[in-house]
Amino acid sequence: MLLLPMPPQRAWLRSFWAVCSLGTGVACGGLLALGHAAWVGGAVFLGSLLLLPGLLWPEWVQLPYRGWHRLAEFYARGTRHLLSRLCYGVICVVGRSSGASLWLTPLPPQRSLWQPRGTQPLAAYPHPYLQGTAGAVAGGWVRAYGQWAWRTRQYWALALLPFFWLLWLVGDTQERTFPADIYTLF
Amino acid sequence: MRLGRLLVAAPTAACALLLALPWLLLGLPFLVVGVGTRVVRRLLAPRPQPWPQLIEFTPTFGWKPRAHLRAYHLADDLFWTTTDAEGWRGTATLEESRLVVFGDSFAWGYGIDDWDFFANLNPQLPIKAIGANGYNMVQELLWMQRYAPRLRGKLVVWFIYHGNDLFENLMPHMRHYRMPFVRERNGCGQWEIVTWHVRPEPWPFAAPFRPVGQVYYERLAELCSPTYLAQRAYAACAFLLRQGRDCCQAAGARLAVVTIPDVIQLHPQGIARLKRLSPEPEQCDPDYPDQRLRQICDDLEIPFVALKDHLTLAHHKKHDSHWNARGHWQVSRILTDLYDKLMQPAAASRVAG
Repeated sequence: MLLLPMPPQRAWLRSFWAVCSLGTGVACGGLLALGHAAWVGGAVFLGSLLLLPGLLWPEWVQLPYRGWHRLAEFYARGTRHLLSRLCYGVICVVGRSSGASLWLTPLPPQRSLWQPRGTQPLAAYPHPYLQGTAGAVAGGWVRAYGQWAWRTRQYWALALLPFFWLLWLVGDTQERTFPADIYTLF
Repeated sequence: MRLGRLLVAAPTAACALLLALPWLLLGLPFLVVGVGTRVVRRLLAPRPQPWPQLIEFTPTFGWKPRAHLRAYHLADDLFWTTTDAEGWRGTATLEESRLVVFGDSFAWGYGIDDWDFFANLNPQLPIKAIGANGYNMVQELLWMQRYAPRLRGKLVVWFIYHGNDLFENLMPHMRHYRMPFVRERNGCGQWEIVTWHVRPEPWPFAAPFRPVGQVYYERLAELCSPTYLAQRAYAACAFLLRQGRDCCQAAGARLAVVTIPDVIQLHPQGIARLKRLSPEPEQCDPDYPDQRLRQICDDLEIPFVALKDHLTLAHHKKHDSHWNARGHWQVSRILTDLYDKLMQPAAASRVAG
């Protein structure tokens, strides 16, 4: 969600420029309103003027678009690193210390740690490839994750959900601005 | 124990989030711009028509663009196209045109808006482009023969794209789309056009899908070398060009050939890649197709122009082998010069006579 697709089509360049121009105008207007309210209109007018060149000649927006994308990529990489460290280095370590299912006393004879398990139902394995099939969980991955944690009584895993959501926000967009091969005729 | 683990993990997670909060807040501008750009784009960007709504099956020819189109298509970017009552691009009608181009996706203007399309750029020279994505020279010849009665007095320019036209003349299908092709009759050097297999049903024997570029470059590497495929492809091309010349002569039109290089033939890294793909790397020459085609055209007395001498990487799209707007302007200039050279002296002598 943070990252914009590369390489950009003209529609993405125009939209990016529109958001930046209007945002700049509004931000300037907000700052100037602290000083003199009449300057707000001027700032918004300036933002609108900035808007026009990018809409008419989107190829000029390539450079600022790429620059913004590089900055966003740098930030996203750092955020993914930080969130992963917090998930695995802090929460899992602390959660692990709250106890484990482990026999610490000698077992009686004829007794084993082996726990037989039966076949799991299809709905017990939420998986992206099952989207749209009968066994798939509707509502996206957040709901699927929550249902899995509740069903398996891994309630502590719900504490990781905000981190996974943030990782999704800063993940690679995977959006292709043009399809790889569209040589379809009829 | 499970609740205990939750009671430990939840506050730990909350503390971790609080610790990370300053860094996360730095990302707010990126989030606002990312979400805002997506929302604006969804509101403002036009929706392209899917390709199956733009091209239809046509008996004998295989397929052609639909008539009366006014739509955005999607290539490397959205582009606006309109087609006339017969399904061809170009603001001039066939009757109004003085130059008619037959070709494939290059003639059709793949990936370019109407206002940058080479056929629409020179108001002094109306051009009609008869072409569609994926066409081989056999389909183009069949259209030439179909439109022959309407070509009198015009300059007919035949685009030949090195990338796939030459070997696809020998193929009964492009992927699962059936198309007319040429084949040798009993190995005696005589060629014939085959169309009886062209039907809407998919061709059942298409090879497992590979990326288009990979197949084309392997074939192009063979065509840039003295291989068996090259021998057959150029012989088939000579047959088709002879048919085209005879058709135009009978129709009172003048035929000229313009060859189109692939982008890979225009830069050193691309040429090195072609050589690696060629079964005869030492003899692989990116100019070989133009040399052979020029020889064929000289033998048939057809004027010949190699766009490889006039185009560079700057005339092509970054992520596609087709021309960009600058390339279309260059092609328009070359066609205008060609028309002036071939047709204007004839017009001047008619006036003087």
